[in-house]
Amino acid sequence: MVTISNAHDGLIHDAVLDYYGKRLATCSSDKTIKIFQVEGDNYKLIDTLRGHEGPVWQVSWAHPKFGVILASCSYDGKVLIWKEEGDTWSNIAEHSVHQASVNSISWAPSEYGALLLCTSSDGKCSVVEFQADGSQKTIVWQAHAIGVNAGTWAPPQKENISERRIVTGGCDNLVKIWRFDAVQNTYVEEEALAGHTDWVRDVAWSPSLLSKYYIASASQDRTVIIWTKEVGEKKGAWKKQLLRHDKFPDVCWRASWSMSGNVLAISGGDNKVTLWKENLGGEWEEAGEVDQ
Amino acid sequence: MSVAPNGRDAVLAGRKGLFVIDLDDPFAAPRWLHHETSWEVADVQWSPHSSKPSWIVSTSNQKAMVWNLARPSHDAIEHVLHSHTRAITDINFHPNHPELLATCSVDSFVLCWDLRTPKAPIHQWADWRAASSQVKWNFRDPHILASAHDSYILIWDSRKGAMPLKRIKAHQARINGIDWSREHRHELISCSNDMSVKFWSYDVSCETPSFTIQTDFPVARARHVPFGDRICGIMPLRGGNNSVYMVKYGGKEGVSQLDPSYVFKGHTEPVKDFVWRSRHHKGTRVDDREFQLVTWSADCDLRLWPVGEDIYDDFNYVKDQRQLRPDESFVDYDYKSYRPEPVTSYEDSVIIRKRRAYYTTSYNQQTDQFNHLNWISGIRMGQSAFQNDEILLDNTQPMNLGEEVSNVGHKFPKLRFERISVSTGNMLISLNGPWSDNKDELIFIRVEINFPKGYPSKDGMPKFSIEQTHDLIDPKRQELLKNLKEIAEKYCEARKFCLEPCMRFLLGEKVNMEVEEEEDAYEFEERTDENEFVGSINSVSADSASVVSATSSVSSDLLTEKAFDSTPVPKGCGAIWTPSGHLVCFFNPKEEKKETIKFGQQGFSLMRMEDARKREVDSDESDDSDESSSSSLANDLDILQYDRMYRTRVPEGMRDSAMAGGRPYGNNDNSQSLPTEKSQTTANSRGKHNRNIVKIYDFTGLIPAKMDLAFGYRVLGDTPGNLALQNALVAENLGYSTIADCWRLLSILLVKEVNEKDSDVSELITRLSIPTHFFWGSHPFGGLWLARELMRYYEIIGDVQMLAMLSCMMYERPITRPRTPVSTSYTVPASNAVSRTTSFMAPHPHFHSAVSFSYRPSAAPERSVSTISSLSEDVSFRSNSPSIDPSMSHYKTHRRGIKQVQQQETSVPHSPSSVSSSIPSNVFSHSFDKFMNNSRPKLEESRSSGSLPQVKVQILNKESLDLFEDVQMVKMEGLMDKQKLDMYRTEYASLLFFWGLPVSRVKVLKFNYNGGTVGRSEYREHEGEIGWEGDGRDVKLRKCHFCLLRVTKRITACVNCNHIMHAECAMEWWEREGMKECPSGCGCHCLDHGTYERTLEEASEESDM
Repeated sequence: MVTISNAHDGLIHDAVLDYYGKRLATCSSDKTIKIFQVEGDNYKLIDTLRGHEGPVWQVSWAHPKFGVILASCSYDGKVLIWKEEGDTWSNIAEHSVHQASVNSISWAPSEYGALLLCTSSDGKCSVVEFQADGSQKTIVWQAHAIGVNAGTWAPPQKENISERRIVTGGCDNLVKIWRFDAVQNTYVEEEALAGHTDWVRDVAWSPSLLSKYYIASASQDRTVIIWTKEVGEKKGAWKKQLLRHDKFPDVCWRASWSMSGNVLAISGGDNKVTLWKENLGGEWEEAGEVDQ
Repeated sequence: MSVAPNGRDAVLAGRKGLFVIDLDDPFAAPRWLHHETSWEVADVQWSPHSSKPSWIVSTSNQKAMVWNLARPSHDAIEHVLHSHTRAITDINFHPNHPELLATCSVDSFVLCWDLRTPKAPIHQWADWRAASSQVKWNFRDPHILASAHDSYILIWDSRKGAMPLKRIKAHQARINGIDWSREHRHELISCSNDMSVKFWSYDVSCETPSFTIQTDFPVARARHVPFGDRICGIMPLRGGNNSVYMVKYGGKEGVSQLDPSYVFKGHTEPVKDFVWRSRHHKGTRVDDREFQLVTWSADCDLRLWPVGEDIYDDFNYVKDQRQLRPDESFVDYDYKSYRPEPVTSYEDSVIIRKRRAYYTTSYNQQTDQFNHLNWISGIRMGQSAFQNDEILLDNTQPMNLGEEVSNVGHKFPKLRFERISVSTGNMLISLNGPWSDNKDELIFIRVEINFPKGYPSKDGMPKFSIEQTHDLIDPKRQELLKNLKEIAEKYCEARKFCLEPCMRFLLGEKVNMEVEEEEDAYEFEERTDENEFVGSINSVSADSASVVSATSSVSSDLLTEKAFDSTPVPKGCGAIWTPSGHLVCFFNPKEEKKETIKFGQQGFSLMRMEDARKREVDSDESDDSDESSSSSLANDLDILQYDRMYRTRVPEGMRDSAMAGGRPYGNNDNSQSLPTEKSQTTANSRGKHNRNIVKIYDFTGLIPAKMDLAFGYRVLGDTPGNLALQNALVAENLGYSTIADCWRLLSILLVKEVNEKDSDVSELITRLSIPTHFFWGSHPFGGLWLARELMRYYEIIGDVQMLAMLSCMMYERPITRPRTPVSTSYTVPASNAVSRTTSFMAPHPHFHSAVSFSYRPSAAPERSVSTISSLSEDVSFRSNSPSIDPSMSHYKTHRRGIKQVQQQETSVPHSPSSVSSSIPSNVFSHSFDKFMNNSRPKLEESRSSGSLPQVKVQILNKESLDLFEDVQMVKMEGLMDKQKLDMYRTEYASLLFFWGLPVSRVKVLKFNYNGGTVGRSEYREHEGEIGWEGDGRDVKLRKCHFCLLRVTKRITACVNCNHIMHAECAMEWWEREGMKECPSGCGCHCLDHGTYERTLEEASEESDM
């Protein structure tokens, strides 16, 4: 097991392995991003990326077909794109349409191209398209009143690849689903799911397309809700289910689905990570726990 | 805690010294009289005499310090009374004689001091046996005083010396408090740890009290209420809802339970002391006193409770009615604060909330200055503590000017507040702003701001004035003022506080001039209403206040931020899955939380905040060690005051949350260390000291798709039945028994050849004229139903791997597909052909690998071969092959196919033929015809030669030709949505890619490409889905075989098979992955043939030519 202690001078806000599981990117309040080479139980710091002027909230690796590319978002309202060429990392693009802290970033499924979803405390979401010629196309829209805390893409639908969807969670305690409208060239609200009583801190759309769509939303009200919908069903058919019937012991920070959507990892304010699996009866069961 | 007789000031004493607070102007920084001591202050008393209004006595272990507030703070100690040998526990001023006071101590002595001769006490009395906890002068008789020693009350006469006047065995346990009646000279109240309050008239009886109240908590204090008749206030030592109870005891006798007529409830921790504050008109002849209760609690709140008319009524006290007796008069005190600042406002209900915050580290650096800002941020007006917490949670606006100032102060550490006077609304701020001509240079600016009463509102706009300096040229100054005014106007019109935007502007930041969200303003309006309302409620709403807010430290962190912007609190920990089934977790251990608990544990100290401050340096030191290190006297104190058991029993969680709830700004003192001045999140500052951990856990066990299985699985190269068996073995070897069983079942399902030798069966088949394809899969007990169930099961489990594998195994290739798995384009040397045909058991490896990726010189091919060989009994290729070989050299592969056909025709007519059923391809039939023409005579010839009567030609390398997949198996088409199956395969393929198995990925993906359009490539033998030449103009085809994306720029193409890749992908494939074969799956060894690299334009030009 790889354990990296005190990598940063500040709080760590995100740690993500790349597509091949070889590199780990971490980001922190100390305004830096660090890239580690991870091999077996060993790790090696490769580079420290500086450029943000505030705490860096999240990092995200792009699909390797675009190259070794990392995006990062920060309290300073900027999103920076980093690229490794040769052995050096450099900042190749900047996306700064937001007026407040950018809280989350998420690369679209690679089928759509190099699209990055950013959500910000100014209440807006933006999708930037990084085009081959180096230019950017941006779509910005108002999403949640007080701020948008998280957003991710739905997995691509094979039969209808143009139907792009996004799920966001915000300070208005709502989870919203957006669909790309090619005619208006913007994202239109398809669904607003109410159920939380405090800020929604993370949303995760299960990558699995097996028989249902699954969205997990983690909130500061100490609950996690699993929203499900049968594939192909009409609008408004989202069902909600509490992951855990009683409340979590503390606020819930993050939700993450495993590769095929089998296991959901929830991390909370009590510094514990719990793993959840759906059993054959459709109930969610705890499948493990990780303590710091 | 003690309140000045004029009711204006309160004094709090602690290990750092004395704090004098002006209760009428709580925003003003308290006056701090330094007196560093390692001992808890047991008592502090303000002189009740108008002749000495500035005198305060406090204890410092065995000494009593007499302070004179009229003197400068650094030299305020008037006398030190030192005669006790152990810690002093109580001080009492003589009610009539301003120079006299009594002290009592753990050494069991009670001393009486005359402040004119402070060197030695003028009287001393001792119990000798038990430590003394209380001493009180009688209000009516100047010579009488009472002291409490353990469970006894002794009454002394100052004229009588060593023997007590009376000795009352008052309680079962230690007495915590005694109090004389103000009206009746023989009456006193005592309260004790035995959970009772007793009322004595010692002239009547010293054995039995006149009245006893039983409580359910140990009582710390029971005192007379200064108004009304025979009413006492009872303060629990612990429990009792942290409230103060008012009880009428007039005319009651015997024993009764606590029946309070009024309860002051609101503190979250036990109340440490309560006193009454009163005011009356000067020289009045009627009793027009007004009262307020002041309480000081372990939750570090100092609260002022207004006394409503209902209470007065209830207690039979009518203001302005009772004429004073001629002999009676109220002492007129000079209404003056000893916290030297002018007074203008009077607040009805004030809570001074002190935070431990300002006793943390950063504060230490400036020990001789009181951090005014922090003080201000600790003050809340007009709400009870509970409402306070809740309101603040959804508060995006400061509640009042004081809060606003503290917000701004914490947000901009670079601002210097030179003067803050919240009550007058005046402040002086200096800062460095970019307003010089030279843009880069910051110049010094000093701004004075006057906030009018109605601020913030349209009429209540603050006035700014900027000091003229040398650097700041006048036009610039005017411009600044104009801008400030504009900003202030904008915000004030929306009833929003404008200090922050103004300061932002002055610091050179951008100011958002759009005052957003109407609702916000509305919300605020609501809140102000609430404020007015709350002021009157807060004493009454005891019940509503009991809602203990469940907010944890997090939410309190949160509210700090919300006041600034809606950036959420950083996530303390997180876990992110990787594709490989590992979990990356990061933690930021909350050391801060521990600290908080530390503070909580110090509940024993009378003034916890002082204590906490003392300990900030060595916060790691445990409670116990700390205590033992302090002197025995401190221990004495401890024993006297509180039960140690109790402290440790208090649930820490409760304390914790109470603490945290009260300190939204808890960590902001560290703001200097913040990464940016903007990022003012509490957690940031916290992080400085904390370790953080990133860990990668292996949770592959939880994920149904197994990487190790993927390494072993096969999807191509044999009959599905055999493949299934093979996969079963793989699963079994790796210990996945369920999966192995599933594969076994499947292998049975997929068996396609019923033993043909059984003549009955074949007869049956002919008789029933059912198709020659006979599968168990069609059996009602097997087949469709089981297959469907299997798929359903794995769908529920979400095992993509199994789903994809099953879908591959049960794949049915559409018949329309003109698949021609032949390869003749490159010539195989004749020797190869010979060796191939001659060595039956060892198929030529070269040929093998040329056709299929999946060639493994392991068990599978051999098995398939051997089963086949059992069918053909007497084969003699050796003699046969030379004769055939020359004539068939062009048709090497065709021959094989044809021969099987022949074989089927001749020897096993009922055997389902893999080739004939599925390849109606014109290509094939064409070559078939040719072949028939050419080879049949030869064969017949060789047969007729007689040396070998029967020739059976077996197909070799069947597995490498993927011929089996073309056979109909279980009809998956009907079972499942094809798109779904494709999806499973795609998903599994991407998993395989993550796992570093690109070859397996391609194999699985092969099933997703059926028939459809076929490129009209002249290189028919490949007919890759995506070829370069032939249909070169068709954009669709220009896809890289590696990443399946369109090729736009540089490409690499194989001269042999013409499959293309991105130049980059090619590098990846050939070099980094070290692959030998073409990524398209055609089996070409492109590197052996050479590849070329060029741009798309070049390439298309070439193909045009």
